[in-house]
Amino acid sequence: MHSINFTTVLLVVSAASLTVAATLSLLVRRRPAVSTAMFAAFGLAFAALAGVMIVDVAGPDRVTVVTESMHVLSLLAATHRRLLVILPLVASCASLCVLSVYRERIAEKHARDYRNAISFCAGIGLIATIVVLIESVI
Amino acid sequence: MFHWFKSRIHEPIAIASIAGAAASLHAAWIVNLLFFRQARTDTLVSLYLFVACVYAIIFAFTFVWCRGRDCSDLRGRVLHAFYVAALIFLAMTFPLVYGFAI
Repeated sequence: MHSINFTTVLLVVSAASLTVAATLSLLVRRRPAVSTAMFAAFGLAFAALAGVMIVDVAGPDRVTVVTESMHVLSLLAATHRRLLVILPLVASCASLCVLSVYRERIAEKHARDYRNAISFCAGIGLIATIVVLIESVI
Repeated sequence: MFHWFKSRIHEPIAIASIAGAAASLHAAWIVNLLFFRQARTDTLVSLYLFVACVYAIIFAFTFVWCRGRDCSDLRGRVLHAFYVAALIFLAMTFPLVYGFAI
Protein backbone atom coordinates (compact mmCIF):
# COMPACT_ATOMS: atom_id res chain seq x y z
CA MET A 1 0.00 0.00 0.00
CA HIS A 2 1.28 3.45 -0.87
CA SER A 3 2.26 5.51 2.11
CA ILE A 4 0.86 8.99 2.47
CA ASN A 5 3.68 11.46 2.10
CA PHE A 6 3.92 15.24 2.24
CA THR A 7 3.31 15.66 -1.50
CA THR A 8 0.07 13.70 -1.32
CA VAL A 9 -1.15 15.89 1.54
CA LEU A 10 -0.36 19.03 -0.46
CA LEU A 11 -2.17 17.66 -3.50
CA VAL A 12 -5.23 16.82 -1.42
CA VAL A 13 -5.21 20.32 0.05
CA SER A 14 -4.97 21.88 -3.40
CA ALA A 15 -7.75 19.64 -4.75
CA ALA A 16 -10.00 20.59 -1.86
CA SER A 17 -9.24 24.28 -2.35
CA LEU A 18 -9.93 24.10 -6.06
CA THR A 19 -13.20 22.29 -5.37
CA VAL A 20 -14.23 25.15 -3.10
CA ALA A 21 -13.13 27.67 -5.72
CA ALA A 22 -15.05 25.89 -8.48
CA THR A 23 -18.18 25.83 -6.34
CA LEU A 24 -17.86 29.49 -5.41
CA SER A 25 -17.23 30.48 -9.01
CA LEU A 26 -20.75 29.29 -9.79
CA LEU A 27 -22.17 31.48 -7.04
CA VAL A 28 -20.16 34.63 -7.56
CA ARG A 29 -22.56 36.23 -9.98
CA ARG A 30 -25.46 36.24 -7.53
CA ARG A 31 -23.39 36.79 -4.40
CA PRO A 32 -20.31 38.93 -5.16
CA ALA A 33 -19.22 38.72 -1.53
CA VAL A 34 -17.91 35.19 -2.09
CA SER A 35 -15.11 36.57 -4.25
CA THR A 36 -12.98 37.05 -1.14
CA ALA A 37 -13.41 33.41 -0.15
CA MET A 38 -12.70 32.38 -3.72
CA PHE A 39 -9.51 34.45 -3.66
CA ALA A 40 -8.45 32.69 -0.47
CA ALA A 41 -9.22 29.28 -1.96
CA PHE A 42 -7.16 30.00 -5.07
CA GLY A 43 -4.36 31.35 -2.89
CA LEU A 44 -4.31 28.19 -0.79
CA ALA A 45 -4.33 26.02 -3.90
CA PHE A 46 -1.49 28.04 -5.41
CA ALA A 47 0.57 27.75 -2.25
CA ALA A 48 -0.01 24.00 -2.01
CA LEU A 49 0.88 23.44 -5.68
CA ALA A 50 3.98 25.59 -5.32
CA GLY A 51 4.91 23.41 -2.36
CA VAL A 52 4.49 20.31 -4.51
CA MET A 53 6.72 21.83 -7.15
CA ILE A 54 9.36 22.81 -4.59
CA VAL A 55 9.35 19.32 -3.09
CA ASP A 56 9.77 17.85 -6.57
CA VAL A 57 12.63 20.16 -7.43
CA ALA A 58 14.52 20.45 -4.17
CA GLY A 59 13.38 17.35 -2.32
CA PRO A 60 15.55 14.36 -1.47
CA ASP A 61 14.54 12.46 -4.62
CA ARG A 62 15.34 15.04 -7.26
CA VAL A 63 13.42 14.34 -10.43
CA THR A 64 14.57 14.30 -14.03
CA VAL A 65 12.55 14.38 -17.21
CA VAL A 66 12.25 10.82 -18.39
CA THR A 67 13.26 10.42 -22.01
CA GLU A 68 14.03 6.76 -21.95
CA SER A 69 12.35 3.64 -20.66
CA MET A 70 9.03 4.67 -22.15
CA HIS A 71 7.62 1.26 -21.39
CA VAL A 72 7.66 1.73 -17.65
CA LEU A 73 4.28 2.99 -16.55
CA SER A 74 5.41 4.45 -13.27
CA LEU A 75 8.14 6.50 -14.94
CA LEU A 76 5.70 7.77 -17.52
CA ALA A 77 3.24 8.71 -14.81
CA ALA A 78 5.98 10.45 -12.84
CA THR A 79 7.01 12.58 -15.81
CA HIS A 80 3.42 13.33 -16.75
CA ARG A 81 2.60 14.26 -13.18
CA ARG A 82 5.46 16.74 -12.98
CA LEU A 83 4.42 18.32 -16.26
CA LEU A 84 0.73 18.41 -15.47
CA VAL A 85 1.23 20.20 -12.16
CA ILE A 86 2.10 23.30 -14.21
CA LEU A 87 -1.49 23.63 -15.43
CA PRO A 88 -3.29 24.16 -12.08
CA LEU A 89 -0.43 26.34 -10.88
CA VAL A 90 -0.64 28.66 -13.88
CA ALA A 91 -4.45 28.63 -13.82
CA SER A 92 -4.61 29.53 -10.14
CA CYS A 93 -2.02 32.27 -10.67
CA ALA A 94 -4.11 33.80 -13.46
CA SER A 95 -7.26 33.53 -11.33
CA LEU A 96 -5.53 35.22 -8.42
CA CYS A 97 -4.49 38.11 -10.66
CA VAL A 98 -7.99 38.52 -12.07
CA LEU A 99 -9.63 38.33 -8.65
CA SER A 100 -7.14 40.74 -7.12
CA VAL A 101 -8.08 43.26 -9.80
CA TYR A 102 -11.83 42.79 -9.85
CA ARG A 103 -12.72 41.54 -6.34
CA GLU A 104 -16.49 42.03 -5.84
CA ARG A 105 -16.90 43.76 -9.19
CA ILE A 106 -16.37 40.39 -10.85
CA ALA A 107 -20.17 40.06 -10.73
CA GLU A 108 -20.70 43.00 -13.07
CA LYS A 109 -22.02 42.45 -16.53
CA HIS A 110 -18.87 43.39 -18.45
CA ALA A 111 -16.81 40.88 -16.44
CA ARG A 112 -18.58 37.85 -17.87
CA ASP A 113 -15.47 36.67 -19.74
CA TYR A 114 -13.41 36.87 -16.56
CA ARG A 115 -16.03 34.89 -14.64
CA ASN A 116 -15.86 32.26 -17.36
CA ALA A 117 -12.07 32.28 -17.16
CA ILE A 118 -12.13 31.78 -13.40
CA SER A 119 -14.66 28.95 -13.66
CA PHE A 120 -12.56 27.32 -16.37
CA CYS A 121 -9.38 27.73 -14.32
CA ALA A 122 -11.00 26.18 -11.27
CA GLY A 123 -12.48 23.30 -13.25
CA ILE A 124 -9.45 22.43 -15.34
CA GLY A 125 -7.18 22.92 -12.34
CA LEU A 126 -9.30 20.57 -10.27
CA ILE A 127 -9.28 17.90 -12.97
CA ALA A 128 -5.52 18.23 -13.45
CA THR A 129 -4.90 18.06 -9.70
CA ILE A 130 -6.99 14.90 -9.39
CA VAL A 131 -5.05 13.32 -12.28
CA VAL A 132 -1.77 14.33 -10.63
CA LEU A 133 -2.97 12.87 -7.35
CA ILE A 134 -3.87 9.58 -9.02
CA GLU A 135 -0.58 9.44 -10.89
CA SER A 136 1.42 10.14 -7.75
CA VAL A 137 0.19 6.92 -6.15
CA ILE A 138 0.85 4.68 -9.15
CA MET B 1 -7.90 59.96 -3.76
CA PHE B 2 -7.77 56.49 -2.26
CA HIS B 3 -11.44 55.95 -2.96
CA TRP B 4 -10.80 56.77 -6.62
CA PHE B 5 -7.86 54.35 -6.68
CA LYS B 6 -9.91 51.52 -5.15
CA SER B 7 -12.89 51.94 -7.44
CA ARG B 8 -10.78 51.76 -10.57
CA ILE B 9 -10.39 48.42 -12.30
CA HIS B 10 -6.94 47.73 -13.69
CA GLU B 11 -8.15 45.56 -16.52
CA PRO B 12 -4.76 45.29 -18.28
CA ILE B 13 -3.53 43.25 -15.31
CA ALA B 14 -6.37 40.74 -15.79
CA ILE B 15 -5.80 40.59 -19.55
CA ALA B 16 -2.05 40.21 -19.07
CA SER B 17 -2.41 37.45 -16.50
CA ILE B 18 -4.60 35.33 -18.77
CA ALA B 19 -2.37 35.99 -21.78
CA GLY B 20 0.68 35.05 -19.73
CA ALA B 21 -0.99 31.85 -18.62
CA ALA B 22 -1.79 30.89 -22.22
CA ALA B 23 1.73 31.64 -23.43
CA SER B 24 3.39 29.80 -20.56
CA LEU B 25 1.31 26.68 -21.18
CA HIS B 26 2.40 26.71 -24.82
CA ALA B 27 6.01 27.21 -23.72
CA ALA B 28 5.75 24.28 -21.31
CA TRP B 29 4.64 21.70 -23.84
CA ILE B 30 7.06 22.97 -26.51
CA VAL B 31 10.05 22.80 -24.15
CA ASN B 32 9.01 19.35 -22.97
CA LEU B 33 8.79 18.20 -26.59
CA LEU B 34 12.24 19.63 -27.31
CA PHE B 35 13.68 17.86 -24.28
CA PHE B 36 12.17 14.61 -25.44
CA ARG B 37 13.24 14.91 -29.08
CA GLN B 38 16.78 15.83 -28.14
CA ALA B 39 16.87 12.93 -25.67
CA ARG B 40 18.01 15.20 -22.89
CA THR B 41 17.73 13.99 -19.36
CA ASP B 42 17.41 17.36 -17.73
CA THR B 43 16.14 18.41 -14.39
CA LEU B 44 12.72 19.95 -14.18
CA VAL B 45 14.13 23.13 -12.69
CA SER B 46 14.97 24.49 -16.11
CA LEU B 47 11.48 23.73 -17.41
CA TYR B 48 9.77 25.35 -14.44
CA LEU B 49 12.04 28.39 -14.59
CA PHE B 50 11.47 28.81 -18.31
CA VAL B 51 7.70 28.66 -17.82
CA ALA B 52 7.89 31.24 -15.04
CA CYS B 53 10.05 33.52 -17.17
CA VAL B 54 7.67 33.26 -20.14
CA TYR B 55 4.74 34.07 -17.86
CA ALA B 56 6.51 37.12 -16.45
CA ILE B 57 7.67 38.41 -19.83
CA ILE B 58 4.31 37.99 -21.57
CA PHE B 59 2.57 39.49 -18.56
CA ALA B 60 4.83 42.54 -18.67
CA PHE B 61 4.57 43.04 -22.43
CA THR B 62 0.79 42.63 -22.48
CA PHE B 63 0.36 44.92 -19.51
CA VAL B 64 2.46 47.65 -21.09
CA TRP B 65 0.71 47.25 -24.44
CA CYS B 66 -2.80 47.32 -22.96
CA ARG B 67 -2.25 50.12 -20.48
CA GLY B 68 -4.36 53.12 -21.32
CA ARG B 69 -6.23 51.31 -24.08
CA ASP B 70 -9.75 49.99 -24.37
CA CYS B 71 -9.41 46.28 -23.60
CA SER B 72 -13.04 45.34 -24.13
CA ASP B 73 -12.41 43.67 -27.48
CA LEU B 74 -9.47 41.71 -26.11
CA ARG B 75 -11.35 39.88 -23.35
CA GLY B 76 -12.95 37.26 -25.53
CA ARG B 77 -9.84 36.73 -27.64
CA VAL B 78 -7.56 36.24 -24.66
CA LEU B 79 -10.06 33.92 -23.02
CA HIS B 80 -10.30 31.76 -26.13
CA ALA B 81 -6.51 31.73 -26.44
CA PHE B 82 -6.35 30.43 -22.90
CA TYR B 83 -8.94 27.72 -23.64
CA VAL B 84 -6.94 26.57 -26.65
CA ALA B 85 -3.65 26.67 -24.75
CA ALA B 86 -5.02 24.55 -21.92
CA LEU B 87 -6.45 21.94 -24.29
CA ILE B 88 -3.25 21.78 -26.34
CA PHE B 89 -1.21 21.49 -23.16
CA LEU B 90 -3.36 18.61 -21.95
CA ALA B 91 -2.97 16.83 -25.29
CA MET B 92 0.71 17.47 -25.89
CA THR B 93 1.91 16.51 -22.41
CA PHE B 94 0.33 13.09 -22.73
CA PRO B 95 3.28 10.68 -23.10
CA LEU B 96 1.77 8.71 -25.94
CA VAL B 97 1.32 11.93 -27.94
CA TYR B 98 4.69 13.61 -27.50
CA GLY B 99 6.45 10.26 -27.69
CA PHE B 100 4.82 9.28 -30.94
CA ALA B 101 7.22 8.23 -33.67
CA ILE B 102 6.80 6.41 -36.94
